[in-house]
Amino acid sequence: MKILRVWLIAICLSSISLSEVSDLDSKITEFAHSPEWLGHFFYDGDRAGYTSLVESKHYFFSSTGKYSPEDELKETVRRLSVPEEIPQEEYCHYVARYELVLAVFPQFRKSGHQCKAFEEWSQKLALDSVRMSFATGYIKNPASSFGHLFLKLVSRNQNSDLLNYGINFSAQTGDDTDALYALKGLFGQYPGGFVFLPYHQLIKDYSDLEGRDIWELDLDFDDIAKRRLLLFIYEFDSNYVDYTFMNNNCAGILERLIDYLQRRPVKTSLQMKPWTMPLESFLNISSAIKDKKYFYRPSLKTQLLQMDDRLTEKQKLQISDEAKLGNYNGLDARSLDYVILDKKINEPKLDENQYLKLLTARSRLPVDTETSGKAGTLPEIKVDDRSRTSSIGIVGNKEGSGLDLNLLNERLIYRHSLSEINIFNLQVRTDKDKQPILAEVEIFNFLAGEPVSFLRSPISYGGGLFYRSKQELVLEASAGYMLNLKDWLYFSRLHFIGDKFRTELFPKVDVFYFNHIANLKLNIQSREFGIEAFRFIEVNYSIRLSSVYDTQNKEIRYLAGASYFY
Amino acid sequence: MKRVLTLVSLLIAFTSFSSWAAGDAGCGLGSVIISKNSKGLQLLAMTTNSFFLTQPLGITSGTSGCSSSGLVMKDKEIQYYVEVNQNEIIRQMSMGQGDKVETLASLYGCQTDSSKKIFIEVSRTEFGKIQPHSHVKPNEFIENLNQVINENSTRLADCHMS
Repeated sequence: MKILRVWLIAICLSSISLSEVSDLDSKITEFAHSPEWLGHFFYDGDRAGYTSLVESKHYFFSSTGKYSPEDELKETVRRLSVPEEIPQEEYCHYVARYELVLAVFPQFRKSGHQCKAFEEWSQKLALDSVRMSFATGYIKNPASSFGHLFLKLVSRNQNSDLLNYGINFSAQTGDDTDALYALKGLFGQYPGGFVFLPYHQLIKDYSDLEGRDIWELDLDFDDIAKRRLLLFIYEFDSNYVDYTFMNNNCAGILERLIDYLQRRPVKTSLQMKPWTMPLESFLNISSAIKDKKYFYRPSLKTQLLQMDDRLTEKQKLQISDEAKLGNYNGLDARSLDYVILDKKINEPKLDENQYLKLLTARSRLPVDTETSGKAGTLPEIKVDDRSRTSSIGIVGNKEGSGLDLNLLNERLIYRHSLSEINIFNLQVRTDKDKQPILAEVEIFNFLAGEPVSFLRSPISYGGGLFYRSKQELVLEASAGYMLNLKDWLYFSRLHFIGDKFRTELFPKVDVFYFNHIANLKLNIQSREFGIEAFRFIEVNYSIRLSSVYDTQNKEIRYLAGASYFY
Repeated sequence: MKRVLTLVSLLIAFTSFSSWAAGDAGCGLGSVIISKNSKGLQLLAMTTNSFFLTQPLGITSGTSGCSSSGLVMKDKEIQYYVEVNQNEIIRQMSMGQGDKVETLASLYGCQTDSSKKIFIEVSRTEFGKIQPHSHVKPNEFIENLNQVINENSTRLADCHMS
């Protein structure tokens, strides 16, 4: 209250009438709670209480700015309204918010209220459009299945796509190891900030080194949104939020930013799931775009698989023969292209002299013109032709029916590879006495599958921790080889099960068939033979049937279910 | 045993989220220190100065890092690009095609498809001169490439290199 009186007096001294002060005050209150003002500062919460996600103290003018959008706005207006001009350096430092406020309160604009450095930078960038870039998961890393999001700034003045710039939100994690990295990331112990990089650098990190395909979707920003993005990035600069794996990650922050830029109310934490998945953020953002324009960049790993498809059996035989001898002198251009890329991707301790010999030999052969420009052909199935990662449904068997709740599931079918991750799925069913029981909890389960090729035999593996009503805690693990034959995947492995009744190691075979709307799985082991069929009805609905024949007890168990993905 | 299994499973589950941090390719944060003569400092020297003279950097594996709004300086574009992408450039150069080598051609002023094609063809046929051994550093790579371009200046007349 005291602050309000002082502030009102200050405004009065600048010869504004009392009625004007009252109008100004109500306009300030209104704007302080607008999506623009709240979005710019990443305020979370509602009028009962706000907290900005930004942790940098110098980001706020007001000492209470982190918790009060109104105090922050009042202080900003005060700085603009004083007779003295704001020094150019300070104006540039906070150019985005000053421009936001002056658009609503133009009476405070003075001739010095512009940032020449920003305008020059913005002109050099010559922003034409903004794309959302989604890096898919990569083979044999189920944890990456949920993807990564960043932005691409497409310039009017740039003919070469890779020379555009990108904006990435990431954490500064230093040299922390996996367990410490996981714990600190969970509890927001890393500063997260925006990085402005040449796009080719992001492509190198995500697509070349990590083997992720990149999908780009034009966000259809208007001129206001584009300018606002540049202002925001220019101002945010070295400020940071506490990065958390769950929500304040690349997806959560970018989703908030895009909502702010497009003048939509930013969702609060309470309106979001307890976690924000890059893949789901991509689905959320793309669903708001009417005419979707996609662009696709396959990773080096995908390009290798594409090359594999183009090799004849004769070429494959020749490559594997020459690989055994360790020289590749007799190979044609296409075969040598394959060998070189295979070595680059799959041999971490590459013999660099041998690699250079291969490159030099390749340079003496003509260009394979049949493959030119084919790598980036847009796949028929788009990255957002898919369901969400959580589902709720009903299941039933001869004993009774119940609830099937799946918190986080993602299956990455990658041409002939399979990565899968399931986190906290539970089934509550009734037993034969019609009592509800916790039938199964899949605490954590993953599969990292890569089929054997004519040149390499990678091991596929998986594992999980479950709770089952009879056995209680169950640990499972597998390792073996996956084979791809005419779109069917065969996974032969040694499977380990440990629970309170047994510890057992036995052979098992799973046979999979997948496409984007249906899949079939057979599993074969000495104790049982099972079949499971799954199909999407619409993007967000599915049905499931499974049947297991227990060879020891000579009985058949079945399960049927239907789910909704959200 | 149960507690151990539960703890292990939680740690595995939480570790799986590590991928969402998407590496530590980051810069513009207030608390990162880089050593003198590091790769990052060299890369920074090639971007336009930030308006904040004390702009700190975060560097990862020598492949990332710059001021949060720094544009690569015109006369450093080729060097910056080669520093980041040399490995893939030479692979595509040997094949005579690819987006990385095409981008290099455009940095050398080859703006039309035909001039890019000639640039890539020249670099493929002269590959041995550009990458004569396996440890060619980016500066040497660029010098070798410049030499090849000079020797083929007639063929590359349509690439307007300054």
